[in-house]
Amino acid sequence: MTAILAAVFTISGLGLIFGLGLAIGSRIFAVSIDPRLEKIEELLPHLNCGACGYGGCSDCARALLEEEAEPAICPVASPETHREIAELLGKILEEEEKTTARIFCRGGYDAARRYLYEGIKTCQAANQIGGGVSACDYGCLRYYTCQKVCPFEAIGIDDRGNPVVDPELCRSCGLCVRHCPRDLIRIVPSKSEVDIRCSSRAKGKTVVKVCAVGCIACGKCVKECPVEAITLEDNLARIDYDKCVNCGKCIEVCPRNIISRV
Amino acid sequence: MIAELFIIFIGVVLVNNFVLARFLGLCPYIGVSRDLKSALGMGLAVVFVMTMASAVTWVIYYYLLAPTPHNVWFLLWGDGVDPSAFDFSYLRTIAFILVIAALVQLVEMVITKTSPALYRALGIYLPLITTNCAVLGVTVLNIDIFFKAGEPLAGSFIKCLVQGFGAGIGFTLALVLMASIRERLDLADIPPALKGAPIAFIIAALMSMAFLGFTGLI
Repeated sequence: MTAILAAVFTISGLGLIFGLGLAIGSRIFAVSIDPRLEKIEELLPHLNCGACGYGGCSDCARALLEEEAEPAICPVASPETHREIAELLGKILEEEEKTTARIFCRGGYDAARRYLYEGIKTCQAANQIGGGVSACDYGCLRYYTCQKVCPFEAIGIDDRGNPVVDPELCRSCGLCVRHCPRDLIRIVPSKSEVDIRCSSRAKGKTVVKVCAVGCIACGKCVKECPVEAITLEDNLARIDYDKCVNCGKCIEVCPRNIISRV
Repeated sequence: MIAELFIIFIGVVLVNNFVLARFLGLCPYIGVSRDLKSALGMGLAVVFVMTMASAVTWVIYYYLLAPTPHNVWFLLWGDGVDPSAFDFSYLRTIAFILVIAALVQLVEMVITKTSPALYRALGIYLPLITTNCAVLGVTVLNIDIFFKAGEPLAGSFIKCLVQGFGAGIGFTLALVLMASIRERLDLADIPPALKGAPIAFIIAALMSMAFLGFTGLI
């Protein structure tokens, strides 16, 4: 009989001691957590893409709470979410403009290659050997690292081998921008519809040799533009999105078919 | 004594490595060995919990469960002559599980309070240790090796501590080795069907065979 009692007391006693120990421990080592932290975390998209620069959404919520980051830091969350976060933190949010990523190269399968590349299938690796595998010093390497890193599957490949961003799916987190070793991707305002899809700063003669769809800086679009939104700089035409009215007149005059509507 | 402890340590780290020779704690061995940093964090947490658990379970076994003249129940209710009626070693598993679970919870609390950075680094791995069979394994093996008929061998408490610590170090060693290999595997040219877990299992088998080479070292 005593043996049974002792066994019962042993286990229940151990349970009791540990339980009490933990209860006391939780009092001594209690960490006060701001209730807003949980709310902010709920508002964030839970994608842990890291586009904000913090290690995941919960880390971003902590940074927001400690006022390390601005309410609009999450590039993925919608403007409404940004407003809600700002409200929760007692801040006022400035109006923001919707943006999207855009890839500035249309070389595709037509663009010449320097050599046959059999290495690691990432753009970073392909860019490091002999000045990069694409014959154009500025063109897309076509190992589609941007597509692989996109957490929203917003980047697809068109029939000519060019990566294209779907503006509907893109949430301009900027991951692809950071991963492109040739800086071909930029975040642009969504309202702009017409753009010059080339990044080559090489002279016209060099461009013609390596690519059928490269900007040769002829200047026709600059002359055609009714609002003077296009400028030539370093052998490359660029559109000023603030001035552009999306009329599309430049599309028709471009001899190299680089300018297109999204 | 020092030499004996050293032999126990080397034995449990290399010859009877918990992961590669005893096949305990295989879940984190495959699950948390994807990158070196988290493998190291997990390993250190296991070292700590194993050492603490070894100490606490020795005390509990010695004073509460083993049929010795020191048994608390025997001292309370026994006749002062024969302690064999107070053999509760069959409660060993459940009592030790209690100890480990409580210990991990306490460690988690302390770390949350004292070092939030370490807590964030360890993340979910800390609670995972609660159900890690390697921790239970080391406490049970301590009893099996260092107690004879319930009576502890000379210096068994310190030996238990060293074995617990060594088992944790051995676990960390296996985890870190595996993580370093797997980090390189990510860039290696592997047949697509073998990518990820399959190749990890093959590597685990090869490592286990390599550690067989330590047999007979002590």
